[in-house]
Amino acid sequence: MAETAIFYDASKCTACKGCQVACKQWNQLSSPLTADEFEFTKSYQSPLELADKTWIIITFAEVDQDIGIEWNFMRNACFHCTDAACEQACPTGAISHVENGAVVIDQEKCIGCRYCVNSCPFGVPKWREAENKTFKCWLCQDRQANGRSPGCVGTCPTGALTFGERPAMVAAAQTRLDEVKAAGSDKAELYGVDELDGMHVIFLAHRGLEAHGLIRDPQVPGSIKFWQLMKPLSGLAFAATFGGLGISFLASMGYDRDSNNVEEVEE
Amino acid sequence: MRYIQRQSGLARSVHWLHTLATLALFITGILIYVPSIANAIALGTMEVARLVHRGGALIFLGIPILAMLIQPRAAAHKFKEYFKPWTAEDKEFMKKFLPYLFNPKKVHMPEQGKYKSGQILADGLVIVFALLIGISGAFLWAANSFSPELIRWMYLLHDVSMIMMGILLLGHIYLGAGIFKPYRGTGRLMFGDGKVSEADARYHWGKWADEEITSGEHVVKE
Repeated sequence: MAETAIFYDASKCTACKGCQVACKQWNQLSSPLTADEFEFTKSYQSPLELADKTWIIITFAEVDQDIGIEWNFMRNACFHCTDAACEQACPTGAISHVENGAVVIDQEKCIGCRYCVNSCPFGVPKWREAENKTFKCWLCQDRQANGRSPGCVGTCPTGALTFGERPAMVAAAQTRLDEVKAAGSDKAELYGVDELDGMHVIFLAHRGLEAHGLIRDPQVPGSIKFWQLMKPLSGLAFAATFGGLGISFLASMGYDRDSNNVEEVEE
Repeated sequence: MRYIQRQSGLARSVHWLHTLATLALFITGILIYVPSIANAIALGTMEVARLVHRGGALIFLGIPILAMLIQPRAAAHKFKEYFKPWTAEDKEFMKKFLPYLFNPKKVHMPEQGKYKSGQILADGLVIVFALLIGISGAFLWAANSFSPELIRWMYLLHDVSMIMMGILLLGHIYLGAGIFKPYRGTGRLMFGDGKVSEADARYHWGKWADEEITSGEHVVKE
């Protein structure tokens, strides 16, 4: 199966939040129904953060300009990185790449350790206390298996979200980048083509990465790399200790305090 | 036959509770560290392991603190012993320890006071790594309240401390339980009645044994 990807074109996004609703509807993710559940922030962004039952949000980076506020929208959901920190941190193998390149969590294997939560450079996976499991976007694998695009893409009314095989999405993104640059958006950049060995969501940030709140050159945290060494290192350390003590035990066999021939050790 | 009462009832009780807590911490720690073992046992093993691990940690760290509060003078005396300047014999003991461990029939160890210099060093390392493992564990327990970056370093610190504690524990069991032939019989000190025979005392802690035999305060005849 070919790798697939979503292409998000921020220059076409109106932040209608249809993708947020579609995601909740398709994946049966309930929303809080209590009045004033979310703190009033004076922003149109709602909710403020991803959550165990909110797998996608459109973020509103608001910048004061002479003509008023300029909104820089961005699609915030799992980036489905090829070099995925969450997958490397997961101790149970619950997080893995599927054939189409998406990063998914096998809930049967998830033990709720939250290592992925604390490893993702984008803070995407979220822990659900009630079930002691972690959740995030799975790029609607059930829909993809039936030849359909992810729920968020299917509902986008402006064409800001498109879906297809990854090389085609990268090509479309490149074409669109040339178009917006020609139209005057000289700060426009692509994101996700090469970052973390290639993501499965490609972004066009027409006002530049930082303006849209994207992290330039994201990395798998160095501590994860160190941490991965711990298991082989601990195995080696314990084997060496057992080995050393075993040799010592053999050397001490037959020891008799009263009759042993004690000699001074050479210093 | 003369014996010296070396360990008090409180010290032995603390050691028993510490042994049980350590056992629980290591078993549950392995299950958490290698989840495939927990998953192979039964559904829900991981949840139980986590709960027992945290309970074990509270006992492991709480019991010594409680003992220090019950007998502050004894604790202060012990710490004072730990911070005594090392004598020439103490230094010689450390120098000869590894050769002795691998060739006890040929290496003669110098006389020691109440605590061997190696024992003081090992105890100090245990205290340092117990604090590090406890502090990092507390951060992991309340992971939601701290930044992911800090929590990632705490995972690392917890694992490094675990490895060090594991190595120290293996060494402690090997010597303390008398698996190492010259140390045979020392298990009675913490798991038995806390007494040590005069011969064993003279072999392990010669200077201390002399002082105790002379004073006769803790000497019992059986």
